[in-house]
Amino acid sequence: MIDLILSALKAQGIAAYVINEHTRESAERFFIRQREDIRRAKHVREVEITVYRDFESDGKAMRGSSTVKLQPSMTEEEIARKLAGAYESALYVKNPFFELPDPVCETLAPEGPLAAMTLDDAADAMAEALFAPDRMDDAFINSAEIFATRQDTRTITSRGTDVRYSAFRVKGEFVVQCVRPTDVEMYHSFEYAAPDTLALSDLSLDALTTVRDRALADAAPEAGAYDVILTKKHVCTLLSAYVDKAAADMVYAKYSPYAVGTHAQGDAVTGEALNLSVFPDAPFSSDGIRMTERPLLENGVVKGIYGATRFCRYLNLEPSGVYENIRVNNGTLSLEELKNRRCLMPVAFSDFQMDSMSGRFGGEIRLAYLFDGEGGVQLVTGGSISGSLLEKQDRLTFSTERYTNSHYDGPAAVLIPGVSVAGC
Amino acid sequence: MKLQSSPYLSRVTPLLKRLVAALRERFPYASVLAQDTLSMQYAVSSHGVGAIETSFLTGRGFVARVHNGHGLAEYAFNEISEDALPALVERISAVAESARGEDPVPADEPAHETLNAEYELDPDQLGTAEIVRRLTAIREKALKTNSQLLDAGARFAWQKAHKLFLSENRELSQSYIWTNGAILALAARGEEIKDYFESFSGLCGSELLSRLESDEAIAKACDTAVALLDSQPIPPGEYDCICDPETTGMIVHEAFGHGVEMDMFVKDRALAKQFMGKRVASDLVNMHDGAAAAKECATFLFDDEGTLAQDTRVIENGILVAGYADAVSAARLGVKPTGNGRRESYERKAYTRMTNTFFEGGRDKLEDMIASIQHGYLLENPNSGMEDPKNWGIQCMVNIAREIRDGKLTGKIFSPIVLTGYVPDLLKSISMMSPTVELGGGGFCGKGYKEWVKVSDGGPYIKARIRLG
Repeated sequence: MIDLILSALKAQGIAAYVINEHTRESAERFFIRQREDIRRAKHVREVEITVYRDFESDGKAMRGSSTVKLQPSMTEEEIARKLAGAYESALYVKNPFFELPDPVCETLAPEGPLAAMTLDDAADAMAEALFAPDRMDDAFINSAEIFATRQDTRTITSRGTDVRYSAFRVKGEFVVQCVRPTDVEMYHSFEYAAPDTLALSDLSLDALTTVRDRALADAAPEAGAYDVILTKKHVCTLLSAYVDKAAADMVYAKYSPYAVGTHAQGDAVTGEALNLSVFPDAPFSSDGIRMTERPLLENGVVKGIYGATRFCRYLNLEPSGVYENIRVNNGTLSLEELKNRRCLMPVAFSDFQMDSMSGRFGGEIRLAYLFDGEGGVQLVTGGSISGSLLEKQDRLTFSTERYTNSHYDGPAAVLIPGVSVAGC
Repeated sequence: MKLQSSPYLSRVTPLLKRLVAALRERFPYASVLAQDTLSMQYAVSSHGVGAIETSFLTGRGFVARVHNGHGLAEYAFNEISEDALPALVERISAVAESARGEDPVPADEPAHETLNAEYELDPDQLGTAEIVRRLTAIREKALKTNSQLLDAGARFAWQKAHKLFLSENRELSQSYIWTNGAILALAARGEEIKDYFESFSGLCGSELLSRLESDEAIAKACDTAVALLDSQPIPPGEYDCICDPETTGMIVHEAFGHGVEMDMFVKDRALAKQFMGKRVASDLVNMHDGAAAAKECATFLFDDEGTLAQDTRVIENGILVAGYADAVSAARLGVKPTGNGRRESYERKAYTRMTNTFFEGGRDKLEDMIASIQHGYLLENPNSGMEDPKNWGIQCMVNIAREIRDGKLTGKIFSPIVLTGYVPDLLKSISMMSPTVELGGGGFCGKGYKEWVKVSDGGPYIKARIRLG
């Protein structure tokens, strides 16, 4: 199919392009309680191609683009017609000229434990690990979905890039339920690059234990201002605002004031100054850039702007690719020390959200621990928290304990002072 | 004009029939859903201009569903040919033979129907040049409305969906088109950016663009974004509120609608199962869901399991009378499927999903509703919500709460707003409803955090007691 596409591009005089060919395979298991519900498998192949067209507008060099998908079932004529349509569209996409990334040619052999086993075996091993701790009387796994996936990617560009690599994942979600004294449930998700059965069993056990606490929580916290401790994935969600604001497209559009040297947390940080980097989950970007870990904040000061090629070029930066995974090297107090005050620690929300543009965060509380600072703790549910990271970011304190998932490696908790809580 | 069927699907129909027949020789049930969808989205903002085919809205492929006498299995693929057919049958059979479920063999009642939806203007024929020109004009007009704007933008997207469902006794074919558009405005004060959008949707073609070009809509988006700069966080508490039709739609869909998706009944994950035949809302409330219940973005002839679309009355005068179900869940529960088995694409599993979901209108005038409130808020511009079928907890977020005091809007704006509470408490507190029902299909609905499908929701203005934070 690639040869057919390259031939069509040449025939139509399309000189600049980025081609991504993906082959996706999966073994999927769906469970209700521990009983298999439905079994699925997938094998599909697709090509996504961006064609570029150079022209002048008002005396300025422009490079328009349009992205389309091509299917293996398409005839030669269909492919030619679709590419011609994309090339025509690109003429009206009046964006300033930019150069595609420098060429890279590399083939990475599939590696890691998942490459050495079938997707079916990986899915079954993870299912066994998930259900291993599911032996409690009052709490159990209500339902689960497990996906073992392989994606083979080949990226080809008109500048000579030709890279190939494979990505393996086992991911999924499950719902734990506790029926006494209140019938409640909690949602969890997971994603691993290897069939990490121990990690999944630990997650499952922790989920089953926590849902028991939720079943005991029966009141919302009183409305007011609290020191709030966010934990685990919610810390990652909160800190994603800094990653968003260090993105080249946000900087270019002036949606973010960041530049190298910007004091991201303000000039007078009395809490912890952030040390934050981003790391990739694929070896190459969609246009063939080799992706590596990149520091964004050092001691609260912006050290790097990252992003897609077009916006990096506009900002005179070396293109770096798009990142979403966060590593944070902070933490001065243990979680016990953080909790040693009157504070609210929500561990489950309906949907915790961080709006990086307004700086606002918030969510409805499914389960929180209310510490009185004197050793007492109350389980609460209901109500919501809301606050402004822009107002609080100079006073953040992180735990020394760490939490790691496929998208985050950093402190397991952060203390935010004086957050508004809507409760009873 | 009518949207023509996919030539590709027509071309492969004989092969797909042979595939179904070959699988039926081995298994008690086999069907194939074939999809050939095209999409495009255009955007103009300070980022520049974009014209891309949306990845998850475009696809051409198949999913075979097989029952092996015990349980169900599915295999998704996107290549089929005369030569490869025997190998494909073997691959599907291997997955099917390993299925371990315990389900009745699906019903396969005869049906042969076709839909070629009507629309006015083909966005493909209108072309990128004209679409980008008009979006650019909208943006330029927006930027001129207010000097305090950081940016303004306009978006337009469409999908042409062609689907074919084949089983031994059913042959269903449909082609329909929906379009979405939005005007976006951003205003900044220091590092804080406030945004507002006006969105439009329809079961139509590029004629939707003219709605984006409305001076009133452009001015509203821009003025509101700037007004939001002076907004304050709301003092947490329970208030008399009026929800605009969009916010009503979010409550209908997120807070209540997910709770009557009957795959949740199968898993005992929905409190609604215990409320069938019981009061869940004030007697003013009547609720519908269905691809045949309205003409909006989630209107189609049949769902992704080959069940014909319906209009399901969910709440009747405040009483929960029905849920909606995909075919598998319906079989397990011993009820009829309602045409709500939907997939993100042929690559994904079908779940019970909403379609067009809304409250019927009432008899109250909006001005009377506002006049009836001593201290409360008019809630507008919802931006997200999360379901909680198990406990009917509410988490919905809206962009704007306009203050009402002594029966009048004061002009003061609070933002952002989190709605919380217990769903039946909110629905039972509904005391007034305006007559006109408005539906919007600008967004996508997820099942948890994935499986995005196009939906619409809405209703009239409603007055209710709601906890805000």
